[in-house]
Amino acid sequence: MPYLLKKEEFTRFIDLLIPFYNVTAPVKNIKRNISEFKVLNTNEGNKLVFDLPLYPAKDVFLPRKEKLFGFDNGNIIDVKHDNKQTLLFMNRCDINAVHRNDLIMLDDPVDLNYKEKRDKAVLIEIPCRITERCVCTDMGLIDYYDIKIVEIDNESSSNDKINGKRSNKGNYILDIRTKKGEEVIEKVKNRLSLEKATYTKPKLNLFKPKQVKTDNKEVWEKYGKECLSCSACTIVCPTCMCFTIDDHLNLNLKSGYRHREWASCQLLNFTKVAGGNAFRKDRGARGTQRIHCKFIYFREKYKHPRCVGCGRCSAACPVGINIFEYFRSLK
Amino acid sequence: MKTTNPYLPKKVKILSVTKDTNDISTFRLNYPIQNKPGQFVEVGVLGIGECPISFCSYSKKHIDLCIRNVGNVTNAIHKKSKGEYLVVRGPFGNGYPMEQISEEHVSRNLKNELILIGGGTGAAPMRSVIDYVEQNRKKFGKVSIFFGFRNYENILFKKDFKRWSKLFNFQFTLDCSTNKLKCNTGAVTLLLEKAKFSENTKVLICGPPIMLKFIMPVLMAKGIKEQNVFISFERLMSCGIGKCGHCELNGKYVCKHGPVFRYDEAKNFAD
Repeated sequence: MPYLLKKEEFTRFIDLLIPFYNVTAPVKNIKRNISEFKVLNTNEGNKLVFDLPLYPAKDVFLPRKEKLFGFDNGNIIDVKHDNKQTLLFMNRCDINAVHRNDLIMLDDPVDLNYKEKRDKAVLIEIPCRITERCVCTDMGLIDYYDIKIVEIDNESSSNDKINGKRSNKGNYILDIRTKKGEEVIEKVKNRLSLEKATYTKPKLNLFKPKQVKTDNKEVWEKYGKECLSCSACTIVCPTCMCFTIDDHLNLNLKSGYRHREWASCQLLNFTKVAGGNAFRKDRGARGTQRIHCKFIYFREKYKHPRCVGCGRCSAACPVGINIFEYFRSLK
Repeated sequence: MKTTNPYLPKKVKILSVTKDTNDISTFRLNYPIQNKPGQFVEVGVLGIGECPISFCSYSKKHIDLCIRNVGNVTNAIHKKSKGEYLVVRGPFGNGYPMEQISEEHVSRNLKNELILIGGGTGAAPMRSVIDYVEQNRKKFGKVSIFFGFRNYENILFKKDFKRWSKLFNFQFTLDCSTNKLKCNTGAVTLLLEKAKFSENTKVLICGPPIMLKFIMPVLMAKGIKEQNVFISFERLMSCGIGKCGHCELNGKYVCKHGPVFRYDEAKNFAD
């Protein structure tokens, strides 16, 4: 059921949630003049901004380096992760990125480390502030939020009628889609003056699939010449979830842990095999893999493109490679 | 739904170590699982890491892994001896379609011929196929085995050669000639060119990419159907369950959807 949240109460709404959850939200970093995802401390609700930080919040679910298990003297010790419930305030594209990651990580066999964190996370969609890098309109984004915060910016919206003469401009509608979302609202409902409201979901844009030939030689040669193979694009991508499993041995040479760490398909050693051979030696070939993975392979498997159109990769690329332009130029 | 953590390995005792060549040894591990020829496990040493290795035997009691000493992990494994422990998780992958082939031979009476081609260390997964065929000999028709090795020092499973020669049409070649042994010299394609195949021949291959490049035209010229050729792919899988992305090949995960692919599906795979 949708609720009406007054703009004066918005900060209080966040502040009330902080004691119950790890509230992760975009926050302005004044020193660096960027916004970034941060865990809010008590009474920091006013710090939340509606923005799309350059670095995604994917490390909430897949940390840069995550222990899989420990060992000591040849014995395996299972690591117990003690996770608090997380509230994630994210843009629509980032929430869709979680959906894409769910498709792969919760596919059989289930990645338990991921599932543990995912089960404890509530996704809250914040109003979009469209930046120049956004390209999400044709990416076929779906509704995957638990709670959606909708800004009322239109005087003639249907919500005004319910509340009579009072103007609702600047107020918010909280649309609850799941049980998880209801539980969150239940916790703070009594301490806020929430009112019932109506909310009509906007129509969804569908992704228009495109058939692509595998040999677009000139395109990939061009990519190979442009790309520096720095892997910035995959670091900032909210759906790039590839990782490498490795061991860490303590200095006593007896104990340590096995961990997984982010990996990037744009690096040469990603496809390295025994004997030093690598399957994708050429940068163009690695670009092919990335763009095909985002737009073609994933859709064939899971019916959605793996790209959510946040445009972070183009913003992070030091030579300005834009994967949408490349995808468009494919025959 | 499985609730076990797929990343958690089991501690497994080494039952025996057989030295095959200078840098290749076969480790017999006390890991009684139901495996299929062509599948693989992630085997490793705690503190060093893990790597994917194919089975080289077919048995419910234990597993054999034929491991070449080429990197960090395999080097650490080679330092282990009988009675020591390795960590193993698996099995992963689909394996060769042995049941499908034998089913076609027995119930549909298609009189399948079976050709097994192994190049270098690629002979190791083939050995599990041979074991399977040996244990279910009546379910298969004529079986030819063609192995190719670099030189005399690199020949694998020499002990089995006598037995295989009796049971099957077994031949092998060496890339370099040797005076220690009377055998064919040259690439595996030589053996294929000499051989005669029936129409319904099934071909199972495991070998380096360069070998595939030369073998496929020969097989096609001999009239073997693309959908009857099964190839095992090599990748360095990290997770083994289709999550980590290292082995993604044309949208397929070699660890999950493979490592064995049918040639007509796999021929357009591009890296």
